Parts: sequence; C-alpha cells; structure tokens
Amino acid sequence: MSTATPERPAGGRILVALDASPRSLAALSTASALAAELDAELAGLFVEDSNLHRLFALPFARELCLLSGELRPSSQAEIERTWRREAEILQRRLAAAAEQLQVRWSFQVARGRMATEVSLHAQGFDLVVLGRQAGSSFMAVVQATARTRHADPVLVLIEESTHAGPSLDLGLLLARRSGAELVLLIPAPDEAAYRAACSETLAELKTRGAAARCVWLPGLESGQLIRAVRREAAGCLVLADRDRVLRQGGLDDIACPIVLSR
Amino acid sequence: MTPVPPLTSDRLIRRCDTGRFDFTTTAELDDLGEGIGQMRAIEAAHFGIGMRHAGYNLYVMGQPGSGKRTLIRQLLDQRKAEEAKPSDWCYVHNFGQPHKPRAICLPSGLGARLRDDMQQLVAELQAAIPAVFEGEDYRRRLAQIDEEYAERQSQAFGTVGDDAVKHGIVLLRTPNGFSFAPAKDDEVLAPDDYDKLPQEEKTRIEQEIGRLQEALEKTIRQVHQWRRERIERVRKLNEEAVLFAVGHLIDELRSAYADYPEVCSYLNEVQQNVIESIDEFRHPKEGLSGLAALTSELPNFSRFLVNLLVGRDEAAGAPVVYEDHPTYQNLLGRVEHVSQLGALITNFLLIKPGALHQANGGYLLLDALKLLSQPFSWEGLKRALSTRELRIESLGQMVSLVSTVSLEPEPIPLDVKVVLLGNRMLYYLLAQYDPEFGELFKVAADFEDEVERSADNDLLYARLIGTLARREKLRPFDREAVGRVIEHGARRAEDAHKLSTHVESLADLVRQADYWAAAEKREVVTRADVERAIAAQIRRSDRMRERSHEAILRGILHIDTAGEAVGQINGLSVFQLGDFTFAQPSRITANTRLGEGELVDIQREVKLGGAIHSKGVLILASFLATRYAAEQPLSLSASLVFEQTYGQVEGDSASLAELCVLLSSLADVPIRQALAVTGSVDQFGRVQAIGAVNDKIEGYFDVCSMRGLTGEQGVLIPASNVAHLMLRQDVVDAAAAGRFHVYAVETVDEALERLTGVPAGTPDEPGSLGQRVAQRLKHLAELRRSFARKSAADKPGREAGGGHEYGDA
Repeated sequence: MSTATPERPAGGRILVALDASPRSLAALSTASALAAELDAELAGLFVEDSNLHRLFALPFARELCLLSGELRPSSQAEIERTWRREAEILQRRLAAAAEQLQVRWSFQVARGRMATEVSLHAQGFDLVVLGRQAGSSFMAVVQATARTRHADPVLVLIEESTHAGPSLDLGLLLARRSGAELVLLIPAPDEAAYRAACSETLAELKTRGAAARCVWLPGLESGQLIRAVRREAAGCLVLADRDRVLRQGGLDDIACPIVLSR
Repeated sequence: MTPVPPLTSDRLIRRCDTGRFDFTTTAELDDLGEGIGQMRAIEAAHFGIGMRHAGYNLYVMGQPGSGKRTLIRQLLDQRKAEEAKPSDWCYVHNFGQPHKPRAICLPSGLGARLRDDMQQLVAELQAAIPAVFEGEDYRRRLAQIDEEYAERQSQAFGTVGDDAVKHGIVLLRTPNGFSFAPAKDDEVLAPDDYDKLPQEEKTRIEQEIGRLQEALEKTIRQVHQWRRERIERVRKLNEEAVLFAVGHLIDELRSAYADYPEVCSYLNEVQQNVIESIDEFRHPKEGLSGLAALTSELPNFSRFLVNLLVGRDEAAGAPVVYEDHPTYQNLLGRVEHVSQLGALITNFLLIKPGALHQANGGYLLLDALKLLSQPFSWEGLKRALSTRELRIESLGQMVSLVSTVSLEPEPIPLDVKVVLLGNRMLYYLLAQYDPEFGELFKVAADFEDEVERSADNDLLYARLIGTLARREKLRPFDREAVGRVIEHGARRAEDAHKLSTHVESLADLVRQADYWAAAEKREVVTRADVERAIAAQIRRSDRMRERSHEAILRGILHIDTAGEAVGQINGLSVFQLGDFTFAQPSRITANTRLGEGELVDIQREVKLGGAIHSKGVLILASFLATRYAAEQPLSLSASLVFEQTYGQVEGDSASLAELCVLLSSLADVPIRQALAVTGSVDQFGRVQAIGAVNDKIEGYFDVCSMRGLTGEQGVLIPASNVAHLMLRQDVVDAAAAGRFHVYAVETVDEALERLTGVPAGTPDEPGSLGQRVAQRLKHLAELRRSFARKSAADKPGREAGGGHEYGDA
C-alpha cells in the first residue's frame, strides 16, 4: 500500500484568532502545527470586542459573575486592562510555539466586532484558524477545558465532494500529524446521496493512500454541525469557503479549533 | 612412718586400650548423630520441642563449643520434616486506614502467588483502563452526555438571549460572566446615543435589563445544577467502563481465592479503589517531583501490590531459623524508610520481616549472650512470646520516645518455639533475676562437659572423630590416632576417667592432625600426627611460658631445684592465658617469731591475694593452733609470702605448701628444694584435691628438665588427684626411669616427711618434727608470758595482767 504524501495546500500565511479560552490554546497548537507543515507564516490576531467596550461605558452596566452569581459593576478601564493582560499572554504563547517549530510569526491587536475583524484581516491569509468565538458563547460555561488531545479525530466537512480537495488535504495533514482518525462529515438530503458522496470522497482519499470514516449530516444547519462535532469529540474541524462561514457565523458553540480554508 | 613412695609410671597416665577397637580406621565407623553422653540434654530437648503449649521454650546450656547448637539443630531438622509447613504472611494496603497495613495469612506458597497475581493485575489495569476510555463506545456515550447538557444550556441561554433581543437588548459574554446592553442592529448603543434616548425609554431598558438579569441568574443556577448532574452521570459512566474493563480480571482472582475470605474482602476494596482512581490510570503521573513527591503516599499503583513478608519455599516442614545477629529489628522486623527531599517516608512495601516472622510456625535458635547484649531485644522477644503475636514497632515507639505517625502494621499471631543457647551462668542469672524467664523458658537442656571414660564411650568418641572427619572431608584416623585423641580428651577433662565433650576443640584437633598428616603425605591420620598437632598447639601459645622458664634458668626468678632450705618451699602456680594453661614453680617462704598469734599473709596484706587463698591461710593457722598450741596461747607471729610474684594469687592449692614451709620455719627443719608441692589442706591436716594437677607437675618437670634431672626431683600431689593424672609422655618416661617422681600424699605429715626426711610424729614424740614445732611454740609462749609480767611490773597502779588480752591464757 502506498502512502503518498497529500498534496500540500498553498498556505503561505495562516491567521489564528485567539482569546484566553482553552479552545484558543488548542487553536494555537493546531495553527502552529499547520504553519510548520506548510512552512507558512503564523499571524496571531486578538480582537477587543467593541460591543463590550461600549457596554462598560453605559451608566447601568453590570456584569453577572459566573463564579459567584453576583452582579458587579465594571468599567472600560477594567476591561482594557484585562484585554492588555490577555494580549500579552497570548503573544508570549504564540512566540513560544512559533520559535519551538521554527516558524515566522507576528501578532496584532484589533478592536471591533469579532467576525468583522477576522474577515477583514483574513483577506491577506491563506488559512484561518478560529480560536475564539465570534459572539457570546454559552459553551464556555460548562466546558472547563477544550479537547486538546492529539488523538481526538479531525473532522472535515465535505460540502461538495468534487471541490473538497483543499479541505481534505488539510484534514489529512492534521490527522497524520497527530495520529488521529480522519472523519468526514457529509451533508446529504437522503441516505443514497450520502452513500454516493461518501464513496466518491473515500475513493479520492484512497488515491492519496489514506482512509477515513464518514458521518452523515442530514442538513447543513449550524446546530447539526455542532452536534456532530460534540458527538465525535472532535479535536479539530476543517471547513471550506471561509468567507461564507465567517459571514454566516453560528459556530460559537463549537469547542474545538476551526480551520477555515478558502 | 615410712615415707610415701613415688607413684609408678603406669599411674601417671591412663592409656587408651586401642586393642579393643575392631576397626582399622574411622572410615569404617558409622556417623554419630546425637553426640556423646548427652542423653539428659537430648531428652530435655525432645520434651521441649514436643510440647506445643505456650511457655515451653528451651534454654540449652553448656560450654561454648560443646556442640550443643549442632546437636539441637540436628534434632530440629529431624523434627521439622514431620511438621506441617506453616502459612505465608503478606502485608497489603489498608484502603480504610493507610497507616495500618493489613496482614493476610495464606497457605504456604499462595503468598507468592497472590503477590504475582496482584502484580499482573496492576499491569493489566494500566493497559486495560486507558484502552477502554480511549475506545469508541466510551467516547460516544460521553459525547452523548455532553451533547445533552450542552444543548440544555444552549437552549436555556438562547431563551434568555432571544427574550433580550425582543426588547432591543443583547446578551454579551464578558471576561467574568455575562452582561446585558441596549443594542441596535446587533451593535451596543454608544453612551452618547443612549443619552439621547427619552427618559421613558431609558427607564424601560433598565427595567428590562433588570428582569433579564434575574432570568439569567436563574439560568446560571440551573446550569450549575446540570453540571453537577453531568459530573455524576460521567462518574457512573466511568465506573461502568472500569467495571467492564477490570471486573472480569478481579472476578477471576476472586474465584481463584474464593476459599480465603480475607483475600476476597481485600479484592473488593481493590476494585472499589481502582474505580475511585480512574484518572490516575487514565493519566498516570510521569514522575513526581518537589512537594508532590512528599505528599504522594504510594507511587505507581504500588498500593495494589502485595508485600510477601514471609513466603515459604519448596522445602518441606517447619522452618528452623538461626539468627546470628539478634538486634531488636532483626528479631521483630522493621519498617524501613526511604529519603525523599531530606524527609523519610515509608509505605507498607517497606515492612521487613524479623527472624520471628521467618521462624513463625517453627523454631528459632538464638545465642543467649548475643540476645542479651542487644538493646531491647530480650524485652521484645519476651513481649512477643507473652502476647503470642508479632507487632512491628520502631524502637522509638516501643519506648514511647517518639509519637510521630508511622506505619502500624497489623499484628501477626505468633506460634514459635524459641531455643536459647547459652552458658550456665546466664541461665542461673536469668532464672534468679527475671521473673518472666521461668514462665517463658520452662525447659532447660543441660549439656554435659564430660562423660565417663568407658569402652563404650571410647568407641563413641571414635565414631565422633570419624563423623567430624567425614563431614569436613578429612583423612580417616587410624586406631592409634583415635587412642591419642581420646587420651587428649581425658587430659582436657583433667580426669583420667572422663572424656571432654567439648566438640569444638576436638574438631580443631582433628582438623590440625589432618593438616600434619597431609604435610607428611599420609592417607590416614596417625598417632604421630595427633601428637604433632597437640605439640604445635602448645608451641603456638607458649611464648609466655618460655619467657618464664628462661627467667628461672637465668636466676632472675629464684627457684631452687636442689639442696635444702629452712622456711622455703616450691609451690606451683597455674597461669591461664586465653585458651592456654601452663604452670611454673613459685618460691614460698615463711618467717616465724614471737608474736600474738597473728599469721600474716603478705599477699593478702597488699591485696594481691584472693579470698580463697586467704581462706587457705586461715585454715592452716587453725590447724597449727589446734595441733600444736591447743592449750596455750599461739604466741608467734608468722608471715607467708609468694616470692617474686607480682600479680594476683588466688586459690587454695598452695595451702599444703604454705603449711609445710611454716612448720619448717617453726621447727627449723630444712626442706628439700628438689621437690615441689601442690594441694590444699583442711583444719585436720588432710590433703585435698586441687585443679590443673597435670599442668603443675609438667610445669615443674620442665624447669627441672632444663636444669637436668637428678633423680631427686619430684612433685607432691594430693592422693585424691591421682585419678586425674594424664601426664605428658616425657614426664611418664622420666618417672619410669626414676629420674623424676610424683608422690601422692594424704596428710600433711606424709608431705612433711617426704619434704624434710624427718618423721612428722606427734608433739610428744621425741625427735619428731611435731615435737620440734611444739617446743618452739611452747618457748615462744613462755617468752610472751615473761614479757607480759615484766610489762605489768613496769606499770605501777595497774594490776598484773589485768588489762592484757592474753595475760591469763
């Protein structure tokens, strides 16, 4: 059996959106691994949410603390201090990860809406790895730690099997690097369509000397995708057509890093 | 009275009649297993070994080197084969009280099996548990639980978020929680825009936000409750998974050890603890460091291992253990510690057995002296025997000096027979001063130091020689060699009619004779080899004797072996240097003069005389007064001294010589210096036996021999010592040739006649030595009376003799 190396996607620059969450650490790990594999530059992005900034300028602004369940006043100065501290930590982590893997790196801080800023900054990048939620996340309340183990499966969403090449390559790359299982999420209206798409994609994979497991998604709604990711305990989710994904949003409740290709 | 004739040479040694032996060499003789003449001790040992009741432990007493340990060991080895092999003992972790490890008793051989089984179980658990948690089934079920709760939360927060949106408000995630803010098109209103809103709108927004915050608080409380529920469900799932993974492994062990409830109970606890320690198996620690190492009780799942404290090997029967170094810990076991970051820590795997553990169910042999020399060992042994259980405590705990928490292993029932090997003095001291000794050591086996020298015992001796030679792979002994060894055995016993049972010295002689036989390239050990071995033994040890003899020959030590002298006699002194004994003559002199009846023992005055020596001197003073001055004051002052001796003089074996020299001085009759005298004397002038008679005769013989034997020289010994004579061949030969003599005397009179050539006679017998002594004493008494009268006359106003002690005597 041949073990041909998958065709490496052209990935000269990788953007990783970071925050202080555990998911962000996993994303940094994924992004730096990709950067090392693809010999790409790694750029960290920390977005200061403008909505929060405005919120704490309002006279009645209160924060409902998760730990204590108490309402407490806050201020713009406090949130700015918090952001500065988080940004410094993330920059140090990014630098450490990049230096360990001998990867070029940069780091920048932007203020605005998360989705907007990521979309805006993603323009010059080949890959985007989401390590922070675009909006308010509820999962963070219950997920103490994101899954960061290498052996957790790599999920690839195959929207159209004929155009799944770059996503498959990325997924295969990540799976092989971490020794994880490759799982293909195949949306199809019925089982026959699913089976056809599955066979076609597996055949495509076979030419690259790889195998995978297929999972049927009855629809492409974000809820179904999120449930599949949870069920499979995914270590990483690879999505294509990043502009559409960033535009649509709705992936805040996914706990694992999301790799977005063009 | 006819002077005492010298002993004939055949009375100076009792030869072994080797003609009675019907063997050529000892190779033809059977082994001797039970020693010689130890039937009393063997019967006592059999009784003690056979009594299984508490307190019937043995004290085996006898001289060091008497072979008692070997003999007892042989008896025990014979006995142990008939007894059942005792149990194995293991210590396991006590999951309820970790500082009190549990003891488990198993039939012999099963302890090692349990240890191996548990080791195997741990290895399998380490592989099986992570595997099941990595498995697809487990991950799917965990994901289902997570998904269910995640959806519940999403819905709950979504409901609040949707409610907020309906009222123009958004729910925002903040660094520490959540907050609500008025928004337009998903954008939070800027403060300026908010200020521009009508007051009613502002009021409405703030009221709505207040309401939404209350709703969010309820949701968060609900989420916390769900989280707890989720944790519980995950815990149950984990238990289920672990039980699936390890249940069958532990079930197999339960079946294998179904007959042993203690093991089954332990396995139940193991299973429960494995379930509680899932994370440890799933994510094993790479290695502890720093303070974590100190707080970690047991690394690497070793709490599931088994400490096989005592495991019986394949050898059948009860154990027989000899502990050569009976320290408290070697005897009763110990809990060892290992150092981590300068602190000492321990665990149940570091519990080590003591000799009592090893011997439990069997026999433990201990040297009494070594046991008593070790601090706390005797106390510890007595406590264990009294309570009949083995409790491992540190010395600090035992004497309540420390109260730090350490391990307190569960005590183990003790069923052991202790055999103490020691000398008689220790036995009697313990019996006298330790009230528990009699309760715990009810049986005494007393080993004989010597046995009757009979034909049967001679043959047994020969078999013993053969046994020793065979055991140590030495050459066999021919009959004559055996005969010489027997004669030496009698000499060691200091009795021509006894044989020494001191096996160690016998074994030494046998080994050394073999050495000389080898040097002569002989296949069989002969009498000449034995002679040479004995001579070489003496030669190696007699440096001091040579120096002493040299001093005598050079005249530095003044000893006359010819001529006559008044008030001077040759006594005989014995010197003990380690294992070597020799004798040499000592010049004893006496002076007599007018006095008040005091007999001055100069040795005693300068504290160089022992109590027994002083007793001897006092006895002869009594004899003197009774025989020669029964009806008049003993008006002499006499002094006795061992000339040129600078050490302690002890024993009464010189009292005959002292009496003779004293009488010589009193009677002014010279003593023949060619003779030496040994023997003690009673108040009636009877001569009594003394010790080391052979050494004494040979010591004087050597000095005379070096100066040249004249035929006049000889030694006077007590007649009762004739039975002890086992003299050297050269002495016997000289006696046979009439060049040296041994005289056996029964009374002081016989001795005096031989020493002076003057009849001893009675105080009334004209010309006798007795009459001369009596006359001298009478003369001294008269002188004293005259001095007393004169003294009274010189003191007017005082009644004559009124104040004098002996005035009217």
